[in-house]
Amino acid sequence: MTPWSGKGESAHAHEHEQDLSTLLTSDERVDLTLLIAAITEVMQKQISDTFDASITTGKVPSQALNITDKNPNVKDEKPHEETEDEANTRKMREKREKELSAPSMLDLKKDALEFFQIWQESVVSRVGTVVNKPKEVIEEQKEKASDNNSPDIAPPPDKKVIQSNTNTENADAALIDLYPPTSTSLCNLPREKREMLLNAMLLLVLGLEHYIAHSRILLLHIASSLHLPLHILTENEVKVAQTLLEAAKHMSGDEETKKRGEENQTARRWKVGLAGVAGAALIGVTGGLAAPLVAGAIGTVMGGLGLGATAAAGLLGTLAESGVIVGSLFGAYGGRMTGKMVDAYAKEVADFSFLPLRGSSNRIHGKKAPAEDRRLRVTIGISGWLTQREDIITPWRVLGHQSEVFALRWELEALMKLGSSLEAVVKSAAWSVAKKEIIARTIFASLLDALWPIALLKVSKVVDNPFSVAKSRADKAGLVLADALINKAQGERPVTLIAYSLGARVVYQCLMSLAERRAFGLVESVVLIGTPAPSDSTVWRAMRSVVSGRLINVYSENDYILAFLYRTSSIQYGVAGIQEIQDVKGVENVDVSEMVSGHLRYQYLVGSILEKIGFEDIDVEEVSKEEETLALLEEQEEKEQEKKVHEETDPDKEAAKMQKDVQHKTDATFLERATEKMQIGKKTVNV
Amino acid sequence: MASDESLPMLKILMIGPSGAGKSALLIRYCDDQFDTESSTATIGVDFKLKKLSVHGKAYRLNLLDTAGQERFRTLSNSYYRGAHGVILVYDISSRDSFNAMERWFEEAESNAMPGAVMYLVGSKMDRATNRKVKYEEGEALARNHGSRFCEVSSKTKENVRKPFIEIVDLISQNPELLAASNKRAGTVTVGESEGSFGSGCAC
Repeated sequence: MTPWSGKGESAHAHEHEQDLSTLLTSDERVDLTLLIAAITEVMQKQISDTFDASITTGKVPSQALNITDKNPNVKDEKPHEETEDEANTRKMREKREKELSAPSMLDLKKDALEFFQIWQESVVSRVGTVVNKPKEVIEEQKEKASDNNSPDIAPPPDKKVIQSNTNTENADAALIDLYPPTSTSLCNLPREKREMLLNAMLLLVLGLEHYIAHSRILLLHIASSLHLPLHILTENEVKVAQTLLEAAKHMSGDEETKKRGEENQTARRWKVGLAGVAGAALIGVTGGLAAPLVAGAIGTVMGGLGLGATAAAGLLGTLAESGVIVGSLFGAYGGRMTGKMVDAYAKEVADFSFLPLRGSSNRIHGKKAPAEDRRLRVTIGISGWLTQREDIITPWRVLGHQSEVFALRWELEALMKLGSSLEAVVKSAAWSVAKKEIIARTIFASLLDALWPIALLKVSKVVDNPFSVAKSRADKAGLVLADALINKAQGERPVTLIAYSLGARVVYQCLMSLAERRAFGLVESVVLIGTPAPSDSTVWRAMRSVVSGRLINVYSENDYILAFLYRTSSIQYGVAGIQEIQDVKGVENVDVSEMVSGHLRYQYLVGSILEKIGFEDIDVEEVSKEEETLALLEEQEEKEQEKKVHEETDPDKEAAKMQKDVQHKTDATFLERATEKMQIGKKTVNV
Repeated sequence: MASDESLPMLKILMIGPSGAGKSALLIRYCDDQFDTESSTATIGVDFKLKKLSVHGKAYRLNLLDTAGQERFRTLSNSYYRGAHGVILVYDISSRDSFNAMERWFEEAESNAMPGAVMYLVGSKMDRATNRKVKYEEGEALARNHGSRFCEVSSKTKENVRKPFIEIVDLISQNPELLAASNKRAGTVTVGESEGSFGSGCAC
């Protein structure tokens, strides 16, 4: 059963024998097809669930039951105590139904499903082509290997022996929790074979010439259904990314253009939607064409996993032949995430760029990222306010290496100003007095009745303006980010967005814009922390529609600062950063009230929060570093606070003083930036 | 060749009970091959591309060969979308396969887009000695569902091209059908091509 798992034979021994259709028995191929069908069904249901009015959070199940019981003959026979509650539920439900039957929502749902179905069809036919391959190559193969070609030779007893003990220990609890496994007999296969299958599927979806978020989620579902831990998938993603780029390097662009010219299929092939993909897939599988280096390289890597060069090439389709397509997968040779894009938007937003976190730290914008830093996925971290310049990057150091991590630098000055003002206010005596008052009343009462302590309102002018400025900049930056994603700055790769505070506002705007422009499948997962944005379900439903994986709202009921800052915005729609999002299926709410005493904590808690929500790749070492920093900070602040309590000051005077301090600080950063600019200028002159 | 991708793409589905000879017909039509021994059941769905000119107008056909086996029914909703035509295939030497056609028509009519062209094909007409379904019966069934009918033999090549040419002809006579799908295709390309547009620039 395992001749192909040996390393030696895989790449070179028999050219024709390594192929998914010969590696698997026909039953297994059937199971694979059915598994994919079942998983895509589940995924589709999740999308339509997002738009389902009957789904609510909270204590609804029992009430929903009551309603159905009651429907035939209403009101009379039921106990009175229930009615008010029930009427409420019904009202809420009607409201949701109304919300969902709005034309814009219906359109969004239709488009989201449509996009999904197109993708689903392309995946299913891709699988079909690969799995049914014998029919196409049957004559060739017959001549060479008429007897061992039969796919049914694999002896079944093998699988049963290993069945019972391997499965449970390999299961990955978090993965299974998030992506419930679909039952399939394939999970009874020996582990190597399951790993091989997962790999094959990765190559196969890459053969679609993109790696959109839906594809990635499909793979997560497959991993979970095959009872394989997540790291197998992520490790292979890294391997494949590297191999692809390495191999693509060897393919000279000229040669390829020439070849393509001869084929009369210039770059256009990868421009035409589904039809093109289908056509390309067909050519890739049947032709094998110029048996390229890419396939060889992939074969060597995958050899140990049971997939030979030809098999890998077949699965990858055109991707195996074309450096150009590989390039587009990774965002046109890597330059664009940092290069051109920024210039294009420079006019609209003063300051907007992606900073790579890995690799040589002093890499200059626009330079290619070295191949070893490239990944099949992209993660973008977005900071919300800054106390020092490094804050753009530091919180995101906790993100792991399985994904290509970028920090978004946007509106540095506005954020610095906001950061210093916030810090000043929080450290002020007025704030510590006010906090007690607010706690006594609860945060929501303060918000809704606009009953803020007077002392606080007096110092408010220090932060209000910077906040509004930064907020409106965030809204703009969000649109720019959406634009960058739609134009595939990240290549054909899924993007994960993680952001706190106003950074989360950027993401909120970005997602809303993506939904409006029907750009589905770009974003894999989103983590929003302490978000100054509405918590209204309409909004979150729209956001949900463009996020294929997880959409997580991290909130803290103790975040008085956020509530205070947001008070002038439209609070009637709620504030996502201090409460949970209700009634939208697929939005995860994570309450971090215990960990987060205030808005200014988030920056140091990114790691711990991500850990808590079971985020897939984080760097544990960095998280503990972060925790240490936070502990130190807290100690320091406590001391300062003690000092302040004795000083008791007049709020007006304090406000004035604060304003001066903030001005001073911002001037300092402005100067810093100016000098930096000049230095850069000098450098370029020198060059 | 160069203009291939600009040709209108027609999506045609082949459905029918397992073993009716859908794959054999398709392979005979596209590759002009016929394998007397092998009869592997199709898994899920397979497809082929083929260029065809009818009345001087060229089309690209995307021919989807679906699995007849019951267990693959879950997949069916994913391939009906956007199909211009459906070819329903039964085996003239198997009464059961013909009896099942009513159900296949039902599935096709409820899933395909309105106006999609149906075409009934009785396969394996070379097995005349073993015939269980009369030509007239097939014809009557087709008439009931407003579809065309013919019998073919993938083995002897008889009539193999006929159903494909006729169905394309019927589809091409219905501009609304073409337009409906082109609109769909349009939305597809918007989603997919925006990215390519970007990639194109960067090169």
